[in-house]
Amino acid sequence: MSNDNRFELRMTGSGGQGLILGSIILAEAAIMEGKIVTQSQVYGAEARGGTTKAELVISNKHIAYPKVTDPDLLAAVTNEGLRQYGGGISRKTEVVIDSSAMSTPDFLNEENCRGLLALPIRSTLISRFRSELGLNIALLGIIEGLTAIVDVETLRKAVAMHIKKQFLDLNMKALDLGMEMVEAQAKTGIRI
Amino acid sequence: MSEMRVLMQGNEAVAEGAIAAGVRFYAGYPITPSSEIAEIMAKRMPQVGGTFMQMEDEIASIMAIVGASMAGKKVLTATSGPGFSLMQEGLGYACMVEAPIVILDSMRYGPSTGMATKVSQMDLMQTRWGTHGDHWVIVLSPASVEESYQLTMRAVNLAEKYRNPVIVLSDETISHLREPIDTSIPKAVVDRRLPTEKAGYLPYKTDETLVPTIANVGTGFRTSFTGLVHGESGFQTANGHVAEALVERLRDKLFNNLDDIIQFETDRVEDADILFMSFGITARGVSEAVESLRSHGRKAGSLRFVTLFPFDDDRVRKAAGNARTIVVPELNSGQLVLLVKRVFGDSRKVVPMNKINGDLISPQEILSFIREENL
Repeated sequence: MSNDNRFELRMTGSGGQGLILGSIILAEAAIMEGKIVTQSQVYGAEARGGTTKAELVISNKHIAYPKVTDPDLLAAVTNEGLRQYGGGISRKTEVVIDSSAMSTPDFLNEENCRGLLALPIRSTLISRFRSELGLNIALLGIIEGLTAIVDVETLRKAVAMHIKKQFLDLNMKALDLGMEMVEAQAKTGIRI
Repeated sequence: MSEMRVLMQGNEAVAEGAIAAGVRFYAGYPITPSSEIAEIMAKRMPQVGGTFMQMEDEIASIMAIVGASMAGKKVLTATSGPGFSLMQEGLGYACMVEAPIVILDSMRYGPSTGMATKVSQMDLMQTRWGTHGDHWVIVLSPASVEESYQLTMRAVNLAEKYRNPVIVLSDETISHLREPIDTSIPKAVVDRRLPTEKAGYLPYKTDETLVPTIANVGTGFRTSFTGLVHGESGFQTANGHVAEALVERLRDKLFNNLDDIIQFETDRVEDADILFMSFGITARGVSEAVESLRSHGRKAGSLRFVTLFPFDDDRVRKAAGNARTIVVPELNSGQLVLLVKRVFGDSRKVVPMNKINGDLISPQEILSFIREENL
């Protein structure tokens, strides 16, 4: 959490990928650790197939303005998501993209963001689990790997609260995979 | 554990607040951004021994809750601007028959069907003047998920106490926002007063409270109610004196109790030279802007209307301190500012700040506005 005591996360992608659920899970984990959160999302037809956005603010103290204004972390898993909701970032913002499903954005550079981390999220999920089902949870693993915003065990508890039993094992593995990808970023990730 | 915090969405908090206050009848027609309330009530009402009715439209919805209320149930319906427009006829009727009802209006962008998923504060005046004739309603305005819970509970209690419609005026952002709420919030439940003597019973006879003790339908009392002007018997009359007394009483039963009904939330008003007056979600951007201005040595303060109506000029004047400049940010073209200008006339500089693109007013925008307008 940055020194102004406010961590802002924006996730964007396509409706149905579970990004809103991902933001709710991280919110639950933060609450379990006694933090304050505000979680919001674009709402409506977008959430059912169009471009979607989920936002989360985490703080140790009361959150007055509930929306993200200057994200610490922007995680995008589709080109369209990044195009539509990639604005409003600053040199404070770390950007994560899925390099296996997206082109490298040409508008990001050292001047307008803190860094770009391109990780092959979908292709790695498919090669390991023959499924992209755990994409949102893998993304949570990446966010956790980058920020350690909550304790990993708390995050696991929050995942278990929201994921059906028959999918839990896959999702726990996806969470671990996300964290591993961050650890291994020197080898697989592209940074600017 | 005395405090138990759970993550809850604004709409869920409204439903749970209503249930905590004793609501056991919900009728509605789902509309974005309030739809989750209907969805949740469809599940929760049977669990608590209540009734959920999916109606064919919003006129039927409000009439159903008026009917259920007159039969003794605590009731809720939820809607948004387009549906609230349709409910206006029933709202006037509820004022006239003195039915305790609660309406949740989650404001989206208007006019007409507008933008279903975008926030606004464009229904403020509709809550007050949407239905015809001299009438008085109570309007409460939550600014958070937790307050959605508390104010819905309070709305049910005020409706019962004063036998009057109460509107909880929320908005798309708060409806869909998720925040932790403290589930150990004490529950307060107020029940309407009921008649005890059948002999000489007159449904609209009142004592010094000016609130009638109308028997719930089906409890053996011979009762009558109508939207037409009526005397103590509840039967129609065209007698001008009766009409005048009735409408005066409908006003006075609320205005004699403003201390009980009106709530403001103030922040550092005492020494403020610039004061923000706002309601609902906009107040949260204001709160951060005030913090920022103070940290830069500017004496800023805030007054948030928790109760929007009844709007009492004297109370607003007293709560506003001595700030020379009053800024009124709102997500419409200028509705609250009309009331603020009425209160202060030319004695203060009252500056509207309006945003009508479907987004919130951020703290940064408020700070830029202050700079650009040299306030």
